[in-house]
Amino acid sequence: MGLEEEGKEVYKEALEVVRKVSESLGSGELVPISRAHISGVSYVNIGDAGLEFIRDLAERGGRFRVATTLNPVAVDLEKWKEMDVPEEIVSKQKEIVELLVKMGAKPTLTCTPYLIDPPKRGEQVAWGESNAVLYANSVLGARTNREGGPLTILEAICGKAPYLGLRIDEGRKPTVEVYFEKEVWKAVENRKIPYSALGYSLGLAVGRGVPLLMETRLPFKHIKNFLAAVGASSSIGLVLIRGLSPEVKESNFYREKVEKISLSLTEVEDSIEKFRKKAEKADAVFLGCPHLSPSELREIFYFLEKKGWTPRKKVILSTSRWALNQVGGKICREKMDKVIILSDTCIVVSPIEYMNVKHVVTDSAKAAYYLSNKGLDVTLLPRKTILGDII
Amino acid sequence: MIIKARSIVPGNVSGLALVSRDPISFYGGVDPETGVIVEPGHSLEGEKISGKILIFPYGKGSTVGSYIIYRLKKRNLAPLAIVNLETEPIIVVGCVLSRIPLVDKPEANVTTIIKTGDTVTIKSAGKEAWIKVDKNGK
Repeated sequence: MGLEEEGKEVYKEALEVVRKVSESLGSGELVPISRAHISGVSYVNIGDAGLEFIRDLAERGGRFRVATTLNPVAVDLEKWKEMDVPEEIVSKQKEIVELLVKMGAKPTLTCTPYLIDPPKRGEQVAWGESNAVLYANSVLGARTNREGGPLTILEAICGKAPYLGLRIDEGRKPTVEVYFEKEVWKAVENRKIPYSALGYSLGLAVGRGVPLLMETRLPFKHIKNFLAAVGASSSIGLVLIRGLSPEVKESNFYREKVEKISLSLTEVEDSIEKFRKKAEKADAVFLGCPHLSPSELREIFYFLEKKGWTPRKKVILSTSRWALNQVGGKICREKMDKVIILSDTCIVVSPIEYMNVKHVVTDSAKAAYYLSNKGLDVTLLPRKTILGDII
Repeated sequence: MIIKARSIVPGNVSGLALVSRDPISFYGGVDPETGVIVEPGHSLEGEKISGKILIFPYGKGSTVGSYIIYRLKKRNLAPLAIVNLETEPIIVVGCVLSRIPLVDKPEANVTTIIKTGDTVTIKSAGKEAWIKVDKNGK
């Protein structure tokens, strides 16, 4: 069989899997997608099993039918030597990226595809990364379920996805109304807790479905971190937020009576209890989960500049190569000793054990959750406190 | 005893049952090199799933689990068939790609009726499946 015929076989197989998933969860209907974002690209996460699967597809002529972007990988592909990661991991990681690029993917290697090229309202996309799914659905009004790594690869090959869940109007109706008590807003505004803690506790309290926030004082710059935290503590893929989500802005937005829940400051604080280790003992500050945007980078650089680029603690920033280029990454990467700027990766999907970090301060509840699962101590603080008092 | 179920991946097989009351995470929960369940505290911890009719309520955990099912199959370490009470995408993706017969929504709770060691025959085709159970125990 020639490569082209084999490629057709891979296409048929991909279509069969996507159809079976749709049949097992719903009507069996499929919908065309305009683009895909593949999660589970880090060798540290998918291991040899994932590499083998991707290699099989690529070698048998599998190709992506839609524009496809990639999530972060295990190492910064330019600075991996500074990360002290063993060469075996680096070479297997490079092979994964090369295979996916051969299949037609663009190696964006970021968890924030919505910053680079945001999908439009109502656009059906297939995204695998939970924070990107939440952002696309909640902020942009695009449509995707939390598809997961292997399924997004197959959807990108056949250009279709199961037509169910958050892709249909019915699945996007609110299932619960969530309120944060006044003292919670006071605590975030007084920098006692970061906004991501609110997302984390919301996810824990609600678990699944579509929460609706009718009263929020969430500043737009904290939405990304807030939604990422919801994704880490629940299987939620859409949060409807009044004043932000396109669907809620409409005058004909209709909501049936649903259960209302109210979260107190105690509940929010209890949810992040594990992430309150003493900051003085931390050996690094980590910012960039999800990847930092160009404006966030500029703000952090402003604070680092004031410290003459020699902060009190080691600072690890993770961002996309795209964002770094936007702010003139090459210049600011030169003179640094205690500031490590990583692109293509982040310390959540990298083999952190080689970086000699045991305790981090971060403003991301998502990072806090995954890093503490990896055995690190974590201190969760607001961004402003970290920039003003810690670094 | 014959139990009706829903067919997801077709196939006709017969083998010994391995039954779990806990959901299974293939990623982290099953060793892809040996086919042994390694999740600490799991009711099947230490059991080998290879060549068995694996019966459990549903899949859980990371979607990387689909890759693990695929790898097990390539190494001839996969279960003969999977029976779920209600399946989900991790298991569906893994089984379709690996051609492992998969059935779910049985009309009776197979995780309590069927015991590990019973002989189970699966006939899965079209939309329907049949699970035939022969009791081997006392």
